[in-house]
Amino acid sequence: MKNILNMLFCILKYLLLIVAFVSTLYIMVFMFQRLDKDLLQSYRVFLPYLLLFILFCVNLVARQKSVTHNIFYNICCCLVLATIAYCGYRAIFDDNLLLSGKTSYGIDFDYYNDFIAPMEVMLYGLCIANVCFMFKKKKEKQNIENELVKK
Amino acid sequence: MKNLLLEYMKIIGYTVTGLVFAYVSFYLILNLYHSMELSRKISINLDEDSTYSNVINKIDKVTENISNFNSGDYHGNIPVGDLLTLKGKLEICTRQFKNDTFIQLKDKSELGIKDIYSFATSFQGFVLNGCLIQQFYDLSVEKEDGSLPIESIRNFAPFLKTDIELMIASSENTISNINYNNIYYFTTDHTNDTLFNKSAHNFYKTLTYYDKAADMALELSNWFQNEVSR
Repeated sequence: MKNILNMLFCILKYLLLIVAFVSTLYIMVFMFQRLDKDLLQSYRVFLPYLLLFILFCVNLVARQKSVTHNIFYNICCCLVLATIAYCGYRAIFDDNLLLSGKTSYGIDFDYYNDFIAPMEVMLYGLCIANVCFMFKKKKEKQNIENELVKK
Repeated sequence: MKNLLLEYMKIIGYTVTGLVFAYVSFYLILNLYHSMELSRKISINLDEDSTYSNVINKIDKVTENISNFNSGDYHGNIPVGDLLTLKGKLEICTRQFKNDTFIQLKDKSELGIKDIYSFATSFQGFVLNGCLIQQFYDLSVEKEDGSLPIESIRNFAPFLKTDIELMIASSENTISNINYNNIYYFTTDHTNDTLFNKSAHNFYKTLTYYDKAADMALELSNWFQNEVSR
């Protein structure tokens, strides 16, 4: 059961990473267009996405089971990315946010702008945790692998 | 030493994940609560509220007052051109008052924050701009030689000017109260008051402004009716 759940969250976090990234990109493109700024200046927002993506790839390629089989980390990733996607959804589709109707873009930039800093904090947090989980004692590594073989 | 360091890494990893987990949970619940708070609706029953029917009655009375005027039959002291101008302005006003948003209110039993906002903006657009400012305000402003566009309403002019200026300030304040509803924090009694309760309060406030504006139009039309029926 735990393995199935883990697998589920593991796949879900990759999907949610794409959804969260696309929603952020969509809003940032219009936000910077509105401010007459170059999108390259928004690299600060996308940097944690890039880092997390690289770390996820490293986890996959190097088969780091200490990370990919850490259910707490996987649930946390899913929650963070789902929250980002949800906030993006609200900024675009929630009609009750009255400022979204004020601009011709139909996006509440004011609402999303407040969310950018917490989003970065959470994504960087996930990156740091990922790096910390990467390194395991050899013995512990062996135990995890044995446990998986048994199951 | 290496093992100790790795052990610490593990502890740091779980601590950071725990912190992120707590933060994201807080954020998610906060957003869900904010979303729920914004989608709350207030129940209204305009049959029980006399203000709405008062406005309708007053506007009907204005229409009645100006409809009987025939410039050919008038033999009073006021220039016919002035009366015709005032009649035209009052006609435009009655049309602005009966805008779609206002009329459709009667069929609604509950209102969301967006409805209240569009009601307030329709007041600003149709009644305040379309009627009071564009039609009446210039009547209250003296020209360089000290005369008024329609000299005969000199008695009304100061009240018109003050009332319209007051209404501009108050209606702007009403709209800005609910405009910035995108700030998401757990609602304490105070913030709740500035969000949901305030938007409900603003609906009735806007309805009162409609009533006040209708009073102005009615006052002018009553004067008009008295003058032309002499």
